[in-house]
Amino acid sequence: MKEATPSHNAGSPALPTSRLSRRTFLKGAGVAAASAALSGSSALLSPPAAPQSASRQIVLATISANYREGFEQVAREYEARNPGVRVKVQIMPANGYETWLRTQIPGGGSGAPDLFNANYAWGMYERGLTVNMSPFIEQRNPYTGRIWQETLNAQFLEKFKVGGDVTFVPMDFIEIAFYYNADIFQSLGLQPPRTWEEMLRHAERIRSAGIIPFAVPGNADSYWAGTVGWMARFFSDAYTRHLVPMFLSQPGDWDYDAKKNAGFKLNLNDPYNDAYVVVNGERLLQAVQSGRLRFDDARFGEIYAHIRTFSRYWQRGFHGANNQTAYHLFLTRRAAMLLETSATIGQMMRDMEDLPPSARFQWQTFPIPPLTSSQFRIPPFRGVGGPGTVLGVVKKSPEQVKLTMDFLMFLTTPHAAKILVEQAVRNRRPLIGPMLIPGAEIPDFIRRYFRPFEGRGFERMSFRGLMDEQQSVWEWTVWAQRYMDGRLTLPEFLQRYQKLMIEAVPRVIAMQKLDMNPKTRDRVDSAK
Amino acid sequence: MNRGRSSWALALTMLLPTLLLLLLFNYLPAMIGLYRAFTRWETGEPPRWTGLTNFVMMAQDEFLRISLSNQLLLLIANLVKTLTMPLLVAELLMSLRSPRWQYLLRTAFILPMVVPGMVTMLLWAFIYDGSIGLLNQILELFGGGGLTRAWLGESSTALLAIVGVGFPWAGGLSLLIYLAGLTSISHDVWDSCALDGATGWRRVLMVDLPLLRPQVRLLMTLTIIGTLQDFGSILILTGGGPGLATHVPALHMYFQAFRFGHLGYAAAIGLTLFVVIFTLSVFNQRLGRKREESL
Repeated sequence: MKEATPSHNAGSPALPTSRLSRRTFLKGAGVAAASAALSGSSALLSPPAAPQSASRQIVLATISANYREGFEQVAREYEARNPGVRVKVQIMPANGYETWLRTQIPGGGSGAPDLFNANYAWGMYERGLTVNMSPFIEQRNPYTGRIWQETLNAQFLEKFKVGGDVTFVPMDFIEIAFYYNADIFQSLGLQPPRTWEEMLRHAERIRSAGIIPFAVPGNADSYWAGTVGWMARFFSDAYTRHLVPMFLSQPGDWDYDAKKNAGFKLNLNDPYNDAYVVVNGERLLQAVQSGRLRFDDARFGEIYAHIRTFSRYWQRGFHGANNQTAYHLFLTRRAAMLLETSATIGQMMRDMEDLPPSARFQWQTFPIPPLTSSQFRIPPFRGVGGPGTVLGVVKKSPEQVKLTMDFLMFLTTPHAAKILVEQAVRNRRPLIGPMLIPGAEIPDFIRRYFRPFEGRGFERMSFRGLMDEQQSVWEWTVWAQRYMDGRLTLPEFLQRYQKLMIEAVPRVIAMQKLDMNPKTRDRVDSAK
Repeated sequence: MNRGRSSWALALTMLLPTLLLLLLFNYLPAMIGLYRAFTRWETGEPPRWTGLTNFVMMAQDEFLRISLSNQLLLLIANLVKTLTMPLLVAELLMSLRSPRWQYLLRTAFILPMVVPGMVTMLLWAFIYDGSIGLLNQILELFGGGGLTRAWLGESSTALLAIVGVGFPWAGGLSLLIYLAGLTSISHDVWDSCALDGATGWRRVLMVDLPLLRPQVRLLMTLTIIGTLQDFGSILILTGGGPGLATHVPALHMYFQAFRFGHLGYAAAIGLTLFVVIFTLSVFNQRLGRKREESL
């Protein structure tokens, strides 16, 4: 995996890996408790015990149910190493999780978890409710003997910084690619497309054969945080990559890092070219405010024209379809292609096994092919690199935060990552994407499906709303749906788009308490 | 006297825990919400008094304005649904001669009430699905393939599809209330009507409906409250979309509070909804009473 820096893999205290067969995975043969074999197997993992005091509790409230058994095992190991500490793993339903977080965390008190899926509560850090992890990741992880950030994915840490601060720790990532029915492709003599235009030609052929080319969920959730939103993101990343230098931190800026930014030269051919440079949020906001970055220009016009053209090959009435409907169309062979996340691989494998033999089909995945017909020079599409399991820490007393951080350090060791993967595979739970913590071996039969999802780089800037400010994302959803529905023309939509982004600027400034001077650091009250 | 006083004290003692809990969990949050409607209150921040700013923002809120027309249409549709189909079914049930059949059919109409609302909504989402939905399949079966739509996915049909949920809108609480009202009408009244030649629909219109005014008034009030407060079904079925086709003020309030973190603004929308609901309910009650007095 290209995004993994050498430091990710070098010197990690790797434990012997037992490779798991397809049979083991699919039949779910016996949940063998690996804890006995694993406990104490690495000298570095042994004692450096957490701050010990009686009856202290860490609550991990997560929707990452695929790691249920893994989390439990890691929690029990941690408890064994830290007498007096109890780790409560609370698996939450995804439905309503965001609302639960948004009511529990601001309320404080015993209802608030210590660790949570941070990508379900954007804006919490800006409001001073969660912990700035930057000072912690620079410390030595007592369970690996190395600086903590060296065993975390540097690109992800950089990409999701808020005001220069690390606000969550990524454990795995979720990526998108096209799933296709290989039997349909074969019957029509089609190969996985190499360009966007070829993909549309394939779609035309498939439609002529009476099959829906693409199954796409198009409800509000899909625009907000799903398939159509991803499209807008990878398109806008490709069309605005050339603007990255405009937003880079400059010498004298509070977050300028000469090692990362001084020698930066834009190279659109390298998907990782801008992966580690520091982008200054205030410079980006200034560009929007001053009109140097506009959302009603020819580039954005072309993005949305392309998406609209693409939508001609989606099933009729996609605006009324959710993820399940789209998946069902693909699974029942009514649709030939499906844009989905890596998390669907496990589900697809299980469902194929469960289908009667006559209903099964061969399926494969291909990466989003590059666009070649544009008046601009557009680099290949990169991944949207969504956070999979990313854990944030709720701000509580300093002692509690310290204890939670200690557990999080343990949870992000290669040893723990290995447990998470092994338990997920043993219990027939889907892996949602490649792990970002080195040390876990994903079985080959799953790994081969993951390949099209890897090695494409990740978007650096996306403009489906402004800096993920949720009101602007929702407003974009509203106008984009009306445009795709034919209720707005392209110029009308672009006008709305520009307006909503401009109106979002003061909200982002207020939320992040910015003074709009890139030289000064405007810290959210967070590092207590 | 003593006995009266002690029973009063006993009743008060037994009511007190409930009253305290009501105060704590119902009235106090409502009072706090009333105050916070006049503040700028963002998630994680203390509220700051801003006077009428939130209400001025509401007046300028384009999304809220669009949601009002959707809400008005839903309110009218729900009132029509409540005042027609359950009454029709209640009258038909009352006209059955066999008490056994009356009982069986009444149970059949009431039984769906036990199905959780969430399940009902998911079921309707399936019925309306554009690709695999039951409604389209039925239309195709009967040669109406040209009429098939993605009912929840097209701006032109989404709101109508929301109105259609629960078709034939005959069961539940409304039916029970109408049945209770009809049962309370003396048989002597109906016998007199029959002697005067007022039977069938004539009796329903000239006798039953005037005597059912208290029930109609109650149901109208409940419908107004329920419709203006409800956003759960829309959230599940369409999320307010496509675009703003099914967006309603209560959903706007929910988004402002729990997705955008603008709690003060959401409280202002909530307060306005309360005032509207209260005004409409009082107006409805007074209007109904005046008519009854004039009879």
